[in-house]
Amino acid sequence: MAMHQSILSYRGSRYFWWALLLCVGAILAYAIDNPTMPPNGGTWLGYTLGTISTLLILLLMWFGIRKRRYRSRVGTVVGWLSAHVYLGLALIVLATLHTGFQFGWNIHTLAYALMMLVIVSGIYGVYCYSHFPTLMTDNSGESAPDSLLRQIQDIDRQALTLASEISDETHERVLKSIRRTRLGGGVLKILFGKKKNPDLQGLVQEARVEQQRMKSRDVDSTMAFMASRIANEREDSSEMLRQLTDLLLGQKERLLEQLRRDMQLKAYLDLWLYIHVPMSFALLAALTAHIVSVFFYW
Amino acid sequence: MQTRVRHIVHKRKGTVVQNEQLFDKSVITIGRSTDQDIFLSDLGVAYRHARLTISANGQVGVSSLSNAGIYVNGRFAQSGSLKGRGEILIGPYKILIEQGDAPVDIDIVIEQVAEDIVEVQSENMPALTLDQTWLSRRRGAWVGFFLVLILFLGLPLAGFFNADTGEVLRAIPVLPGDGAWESGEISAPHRHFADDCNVCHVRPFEKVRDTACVACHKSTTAHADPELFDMQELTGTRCATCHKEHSGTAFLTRQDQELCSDCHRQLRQKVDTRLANVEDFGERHVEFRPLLLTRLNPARDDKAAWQRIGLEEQNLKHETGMLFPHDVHLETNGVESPTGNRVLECNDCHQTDAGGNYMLPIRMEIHCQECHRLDFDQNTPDRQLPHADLKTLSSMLNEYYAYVALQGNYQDADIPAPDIVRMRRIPGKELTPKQTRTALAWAQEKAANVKEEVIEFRSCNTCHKVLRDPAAESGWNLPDVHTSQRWFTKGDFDHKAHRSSKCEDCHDARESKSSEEVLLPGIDVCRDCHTGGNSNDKLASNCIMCHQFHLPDNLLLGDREKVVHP
Repeated sequence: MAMHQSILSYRGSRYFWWALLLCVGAILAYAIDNPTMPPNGGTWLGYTLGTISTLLILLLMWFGIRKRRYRSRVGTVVGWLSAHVYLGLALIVLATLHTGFQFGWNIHTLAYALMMLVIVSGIYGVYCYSHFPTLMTDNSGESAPDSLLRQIQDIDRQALTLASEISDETHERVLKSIRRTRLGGGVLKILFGKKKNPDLQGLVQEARVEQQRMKSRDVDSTMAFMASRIANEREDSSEMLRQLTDLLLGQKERLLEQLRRDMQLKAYLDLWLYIHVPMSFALLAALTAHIVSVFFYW
Repeated sequence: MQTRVRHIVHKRKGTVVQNEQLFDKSVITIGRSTDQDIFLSDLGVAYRHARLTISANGQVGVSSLSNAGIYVNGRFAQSGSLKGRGEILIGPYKILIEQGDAPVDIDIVIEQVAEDIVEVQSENMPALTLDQTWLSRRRGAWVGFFLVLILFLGLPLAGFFNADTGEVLRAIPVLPGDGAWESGEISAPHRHFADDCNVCHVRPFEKVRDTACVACHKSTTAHADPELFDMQELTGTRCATCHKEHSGTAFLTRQDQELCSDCHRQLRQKVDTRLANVEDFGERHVEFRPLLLTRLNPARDDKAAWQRIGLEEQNLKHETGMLFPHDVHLETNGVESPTGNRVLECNDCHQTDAGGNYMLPIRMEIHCQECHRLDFDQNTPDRQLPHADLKTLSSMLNEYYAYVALQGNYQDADIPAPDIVRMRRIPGKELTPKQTRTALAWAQEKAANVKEEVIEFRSCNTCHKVLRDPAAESGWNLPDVHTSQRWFTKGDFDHKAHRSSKCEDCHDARESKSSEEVLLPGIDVCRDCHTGGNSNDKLASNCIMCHQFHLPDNLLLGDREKVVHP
């Protein structure tokens, strides 16, 4: 058995065929039915389609419970998700036929609109699940976000040690940069991220000045000799600064960028659910109001 | 000022070591440098990181000497001021500052809360995934669920059970009242009370009752006699079964054939009726049964004389009381008339009412008298007798001949009148009583003769079946005439809808020799164009194209025979 089986092709797409059967059946019934009044939810076919649609919605929402019941033996979660997707799509046909194409500014159409919103967000969700995981793997390989975080922490520690050996000023700068390293934060920050770490620009400047001084030293050989002792010290310092910039601006920024991208992709992957789930509960309420109201004012 | 600093260090095996220092100065320095008052060794601390300034009133000011900054009471800052109790975070160290117990003024407790600054940083990491932000599927679900439930179920229900709330909801357009429940546009005639759902929807979870409709539609009639049948049981329908509201501006009425055929296909098995079982106009419908008069001149109480008889019966006849041959009148060469030869068309006599649906009755004065004149004396050919009034006719003849007898100079071609009648009157000379008696006696006899001639031999008998009846006041009995009428009492036929057809397409009048012949077309003629409501090869005709559900008012009177007699 393949390691990964797409929810769309689960068991030979069996739920696709079920959903298709439902749709074709409903369309045929709608075509054959010759109601005495213009088609609407109140004919016998209308009641039938409405009942089936309601049961489907409840079944689809039960997926949210089933997927948390790890010990349940009622099908597999993959199977449930496959059914969730295909039966959800079938709902477009069933519920639309249930309306008899009558729409208005009322609770009934609100319920329909919410249902369509949930389904459309779900379709986008299916796209997300087929699209973003690949990008996430491309971005961070097999490293989990936790491992990336640990690598960043190691770099921070190395950088602190290194900086404390260079100078107090450099140490403070690195300390500040560690404190101010931004990852995530608000919704927008997670979704759009932040590119550069401004606190390290000073460090870059420092490294550049140091290199410049090393070059000018070659020009005046006498001075170089005179200051050889100091220069030796400085050479160490320069090498350490180079290491430091490599750590913080090279390795750490790369990791941060990877992590930010990972977060971003994960957020893209999950964002639709923040519409799909709340709207499905709003739909449940609208559906309740719809059913109660039509029989309340029969 | 006495400041006590306690440094709590957690050792590996769980033991806790406390170092205590006492300061008696107002400025205390903190840093990784060994010359600092409070020495913190972790790399997360700068050499000279911060300075505490203790005021006499016990207030502790803190300022960062390092770019790395500090956290004062959980907030990142360069400086801050603490009164009473406060907390500073430098690197992995938590520095708790409190008012001390005498003799100590300020009590400072330092504790390492994380392995190093990196760990502190990672513990205080902001949200990395959407789950960790304010976004919440669960919260969104609760809000969405209850918002919709309260707005679209709670508010309308509150409006239903509390009239005042309902008024408020209807008055404020943004708030969804029970108007949000409206399943479709209400029909135009009902718009004026459309705001108030409860005009029709009276009880919750109960279909709209007929009483709600009848409250306004008082004159709507029943489907059958309500005194004889339980309507609910008989039809099994409510008004709303056929009349659908909330289906748009046009008020929809059920038109399908099954509405009727569900019962009428087996009506005889269900109720005691003379109505035949019918199901479909094209496939299963009885031959038309017009209302016919079976006896000439029936007595007023002879209801049995009127019968609905199927057109399939042999020797069908309708006692019109008339002698009228259609064939003679419709001769293609025309008929003689006072103005010459005239070709008659059907609509010269058969004309529709103003609505065009039904035929008006034939009127002697309008349709016949131009040719069939009621003149009676050749001396005065323009003078005509009244139609359909033997009493007036008698007195008119008596008066006329009394007048001419007394007037004199009357010339009678056939039977010579007495001299006194024929003689010209000499001006100024009056008749003697004897002459007067002679003249009037002639007049009386002449009037009686003319009357008999007109009625029995010359005028009335041309068209009417005249019966001599000594018991009658006038001596004759002219039967009531029953020509045009509503032949089909159970159905409607609209001539206007069929005006593109010729009369003879349905009525075979050119060959008809007697007015007793029934010239109505049978169902087969209709079926040339019409078929059942569910077919589509011809004009699909459901039941209510010809029949009504709400039967005429007089059905409600309970006298069923009275309905039958027009």
